[in-house]
Amino acid sequence: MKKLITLSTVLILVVTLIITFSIVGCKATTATATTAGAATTAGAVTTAGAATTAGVATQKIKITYVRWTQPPYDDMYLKFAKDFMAKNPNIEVEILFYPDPDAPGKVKTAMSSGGALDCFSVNNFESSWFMANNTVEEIMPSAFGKQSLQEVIDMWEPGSLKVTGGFYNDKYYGIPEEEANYSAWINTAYMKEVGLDPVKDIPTTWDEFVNVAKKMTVKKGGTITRDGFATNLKASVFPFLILSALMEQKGLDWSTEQGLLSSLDKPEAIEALKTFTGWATTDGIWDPGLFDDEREGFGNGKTATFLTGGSWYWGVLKQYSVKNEDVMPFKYPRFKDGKDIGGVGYGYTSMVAKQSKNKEWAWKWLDYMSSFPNVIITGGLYQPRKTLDPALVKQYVPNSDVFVNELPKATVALTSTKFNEIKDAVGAAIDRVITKGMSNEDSIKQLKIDVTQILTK
Amino acid sequence: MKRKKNSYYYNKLQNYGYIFIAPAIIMFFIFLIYPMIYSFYLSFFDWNLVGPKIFVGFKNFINLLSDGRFLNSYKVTIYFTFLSLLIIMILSFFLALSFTANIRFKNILQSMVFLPVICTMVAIAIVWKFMFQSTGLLSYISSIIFHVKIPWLTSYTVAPYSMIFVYVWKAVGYYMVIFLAGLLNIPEVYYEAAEIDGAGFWSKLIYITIPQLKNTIILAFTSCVIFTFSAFEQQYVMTGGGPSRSTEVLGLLIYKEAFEYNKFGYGSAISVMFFITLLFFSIIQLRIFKSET
Repeated sequence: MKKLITLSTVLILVVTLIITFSIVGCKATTATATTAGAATTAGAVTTAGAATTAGVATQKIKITYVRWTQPPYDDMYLKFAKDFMAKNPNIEVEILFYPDPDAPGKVKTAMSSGGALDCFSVNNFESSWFMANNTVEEIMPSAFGKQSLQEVIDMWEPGSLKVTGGFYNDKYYGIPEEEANYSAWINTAYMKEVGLDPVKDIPTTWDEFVNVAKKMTVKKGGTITRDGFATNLKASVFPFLILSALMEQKGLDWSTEQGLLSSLDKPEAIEALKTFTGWATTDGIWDPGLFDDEREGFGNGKTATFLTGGSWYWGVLKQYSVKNEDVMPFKYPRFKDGKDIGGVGYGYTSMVAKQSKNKEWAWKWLDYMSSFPNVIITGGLYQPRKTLDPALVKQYVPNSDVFVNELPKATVALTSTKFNEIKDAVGAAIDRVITKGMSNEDSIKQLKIDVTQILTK
Repeated sequence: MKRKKNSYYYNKLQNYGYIFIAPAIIMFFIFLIYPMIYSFYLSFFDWNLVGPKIFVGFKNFINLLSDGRFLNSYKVTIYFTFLSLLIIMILSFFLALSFTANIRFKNILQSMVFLPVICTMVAIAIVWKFMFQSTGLLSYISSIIFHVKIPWLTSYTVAPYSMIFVYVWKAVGYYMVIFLAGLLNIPEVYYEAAEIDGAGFWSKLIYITIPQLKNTIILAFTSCVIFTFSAFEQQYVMTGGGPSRSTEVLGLLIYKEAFEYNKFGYGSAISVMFFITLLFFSIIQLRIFKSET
């Protein structure tokens, strides 16, 4: 009887195992960049390319920069990279674009594998994770041509490095990429349609907001075919940020972990949650089943208002069917007896990864990239560098008073390394009331249990 | 001497065979075996992908047992799996039985039933998500024809069944083909003999068809449990686990714990529980349906 397992069979198996473990043990270098070059859901992953002078085979320093994709702004950044490379022929800048929800994950993967990553931009909700886990470098003043850190900080509007998420534990790690605040948006064409005045009838309180939204809600055969208000219940970050503003307007502290946890014992928390969930359950202005993405829904005329758009939305709106002249941002409504606080203030910060082999050039690229606030503002994106011309803000950001004036009153978003878990727990609390019929009181109680577990695990 | 020469030649042939399958084996090890082993290893650590791995022993598993979210997810997955399994098995079996008969447009109908199988789940989930919207096709049909407004994906009681509906629609063609192959392998003489003895449709089904299909049923049953238990894309695209976590299956929870919350150790522990559950089910099934081969 022939032997099934011969010496040569065993040898082949051993060799296979050795090859396997050798391959998986290898650190990815350019593999990460190549993989990142594959199609994303946006389908628009491009790189700036290498601008080499013809025939010169110099040792180029490659800077890999990761950011989120957001047409029409992607082309602007590609142009900045091209210009930077033209000015610095020994530098190659590769920009990797990812959908916003995926970008932090891609950065973390590149950090874990030691892959190609020099610098990246990330939102202020996620930035604390990177700073807390010692994965990013402190700001290097010399790369900016400055002697001290304070000189670098003074290049931007006061407080903007903190608001945009570049500050942690008394240290500065990131420079502002974008600063924004959520405002409320309304379709003025629909207002006129139902006999409302787009100037006089703009709601200033939440009660007025509900009344106006009710008038603009369209129902056919008992089914809402146009929401008066909408937000994406499936993406917990948006309900979380809206609720944060409501909570802070009620005088609660949702900017810190302990503040959030202790606020859940207070009756104001139930009132804030009740206001939000009431839009779907009792006021009848929001059907979460009509569509998911509120930015898209508003742009396509399926909702009359939404509460999660910054000044950048002007540029995004151009992709959709609703015309810019038919919409208007307005200040976040307030509670009648609540605090004078607006929508969430947030931003994106640009940082240099600790693993970068060219930290100085990475900072130089970030400095260069963020030195065009007067170009970026043409798309509605506000970059709080002091060189920004206020006249251009007025010109390119319609109703800029809503954004710029409200920024100092913006809700301060939660800073936590467990931001994702907490926002999911809050999203679930809202979801339970709307889709499961749970009472707001019971949902807050469950939220307190969930948040306690998250913070103590 | 000749026997020795043949044995040497045979061994050489066999070794060449191993070399040919080596690339596939290597890929299998890299993308399946190694990650599985590493996942087991990671489940004993607390790791956030960039920091040091901190050994915590069985702490992750102990926390799992008291984690309401994990228990809910486990329950949702079991319910989704076994209800889908029941419907798929019955529906695909009777579809296969129907297609053994000489019916008109058999080929076209078979193709229609099989078509969803070859489409990607992500594309299917996106299309069905639109159809389930409150102004979508299914909502329109249910309100016009049945005068009932059904919150397909926004009710925590209805959404799980919507997901099962879509999954069954996608998967039934695959199992129909498996049953069809099994049915076509049953010798006709058994049916002829049964007819002579006066057996009707149900008697033939119970005493001939089902016993002859035993091995096919085992295969279909086991593979259906494994594939259905591993559901992820459908829930990720259509509901994100909502409403109220009523569709948050284990695959989705593992993804969230690992890739959104950066708790790779905890996510791995859930994966290990996932694996143990599937192993347990597979062993039970194989014992119940003891193969005669």
